[in-house]
Amino acid sequence: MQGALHRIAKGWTAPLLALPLVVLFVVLFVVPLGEILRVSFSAREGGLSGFDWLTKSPVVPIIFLRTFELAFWVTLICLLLGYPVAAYVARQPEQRRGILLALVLLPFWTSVLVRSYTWTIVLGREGLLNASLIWLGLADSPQRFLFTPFAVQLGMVHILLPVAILTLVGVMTELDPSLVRAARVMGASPLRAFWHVYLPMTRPGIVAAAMLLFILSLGFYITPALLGGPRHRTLANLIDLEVHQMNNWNNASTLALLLMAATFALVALLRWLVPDRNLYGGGR
Amino acid sequence: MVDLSRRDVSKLIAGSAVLALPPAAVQAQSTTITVNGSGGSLAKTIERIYEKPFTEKTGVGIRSTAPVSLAKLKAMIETGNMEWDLTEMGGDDMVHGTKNGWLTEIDWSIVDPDKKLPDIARQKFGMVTSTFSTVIAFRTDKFGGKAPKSWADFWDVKAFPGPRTLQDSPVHNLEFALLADGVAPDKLYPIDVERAFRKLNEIKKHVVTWWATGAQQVQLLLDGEAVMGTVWNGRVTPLKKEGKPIDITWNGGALQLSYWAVPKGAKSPRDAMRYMATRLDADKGAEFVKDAPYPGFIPGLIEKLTPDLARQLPIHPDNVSVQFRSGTEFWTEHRPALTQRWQAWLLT
Repeated sequence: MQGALHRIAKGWTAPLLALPLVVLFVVLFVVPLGEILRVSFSAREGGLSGFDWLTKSPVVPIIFLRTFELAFWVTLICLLLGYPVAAYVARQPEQRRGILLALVLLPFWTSVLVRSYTWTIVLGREGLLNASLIWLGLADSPQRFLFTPFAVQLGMVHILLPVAILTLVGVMTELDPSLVRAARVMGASPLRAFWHVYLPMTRPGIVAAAMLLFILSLGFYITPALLGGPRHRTLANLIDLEVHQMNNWNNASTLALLLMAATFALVALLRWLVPDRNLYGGGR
Repeated sequence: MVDLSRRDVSKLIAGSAVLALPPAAVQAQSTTITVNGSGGSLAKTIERIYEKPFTEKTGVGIRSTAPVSLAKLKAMIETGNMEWDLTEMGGDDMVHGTKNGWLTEIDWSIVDPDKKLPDIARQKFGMVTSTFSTVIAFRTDKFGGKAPKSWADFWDVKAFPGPRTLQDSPVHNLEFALLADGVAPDKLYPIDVERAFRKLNEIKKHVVTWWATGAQQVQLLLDGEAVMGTVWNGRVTPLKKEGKPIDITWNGGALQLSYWAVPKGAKSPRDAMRYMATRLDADKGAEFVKDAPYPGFIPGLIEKLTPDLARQLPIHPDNVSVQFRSGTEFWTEHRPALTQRWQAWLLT
């Protein structure tokens, strides 16, 4: 009897404990989202509704594609740069790994605004990079680095690299290093051992990191604004423009929905490609 | 035995009631109005010349906020939570605010009972508090002593080489392009949009970036990202004083008016209008323009200034004659469509 009651109480504990979070989620997320949905379908007096505008605007398709293209490259570069670093860190003894991870985290904790702004000083026409190039004789006049797609990619990779490394290290430290050793003992070349043993084992980590990086990249705002300027806007910058300069919240809401729908579609695709339990750092 | 009449007793009760009031209610007696402006370095000047003396004289406190934003005003109107008692408004914003019924009618018997302001400054829903101009600014150290004098010079990248910067907006850039293309200042409106964009195509690749804020305008010039660009006239004045190699030309500047308005739902509209009235004081105005050359139509202001200072104001007769008056009506009507086109043009 006592045991049964206890079981029933136990069965209810988890939902009850989750209740505050659920309420918070509904109030702070579901309700505003519903409002965004409503606004994006309604039209301003005499104007187009957000969705009508979306289909007619010449700007949206260009910026939409560019945002995804940018997110793709940033994700790819972060993975390529982050993977070897993560593999190296994961192999270190615990204490050393802690120090290395702290070094990765340090820039991660620095404000995105500060890190983006710093690049304007480095990349500027009279900045560090141009001064160095001219001094070294590699250029005879200042090159344009700032306010280019290159600057935006560089800034974003700089900001997102710690995310890539941390996610990958999480998966890599869980792996059994003896498997790679076994492959080598059996006569596999280092490259073959990596390609057929190590890489497949880290696949869940790569997918998880790619997903995280891509979704974060899609929402980037400050970095493209500071390093790219108005000619290299992302969707987030366009939303800001519609709110602050055009005063058109209908359009801004529609764009926000578009961005969210695209993100959901992407997550769904990844969940389909990679079974659930392999995501988010594997079987921990 | 003390004989208390009924009246004494009621007085006593009233007195103790006052004493028993909670502190919050007492504080509510001394009003604080919230004045929304552009912020920046000007905020200190405004506090010294206008806000502090006003509080000392009337007991009405002033809280200043920034920035000027029509989007914010709209949000406050829609949520019914009006934070501002007074806000600065640009010319286009003023047209929108009036059209949408977001503003309270000005009680001119409070602000300007003697009708000292010219009609242009006295509007139903706002008072012109400042004038400013979007003008060409340039680095004085980059062209071997030469100085650009017109929009044609701005477009001339052979005679004046180096990157440019312009605002990320079709407003005035279309006019500037037409002026560069030889259109007479009084023939700008209605704007020949096709011709303007054709002319803008010529300068596009020389524009390193398109600024959005006042801080950016001068930063890009000082950092050497651009050697020539558009600025609001007052941004350069303090830099020149500091000896920075930067100057402006008034030729072809776009003269604009900005307003003070009381939003609908403001908590203390009367105190806001009393504060508005302080902007008519010519002595304060003369003090103010030393730091910020954005004067309103203050009666008797020019006479109080040194010729050198007066020359730096958009309302100085010499400057008025070479600027064009920004076409607020044209832009209020065509801005949304032209901004769409502008954005598309910018991306390619």
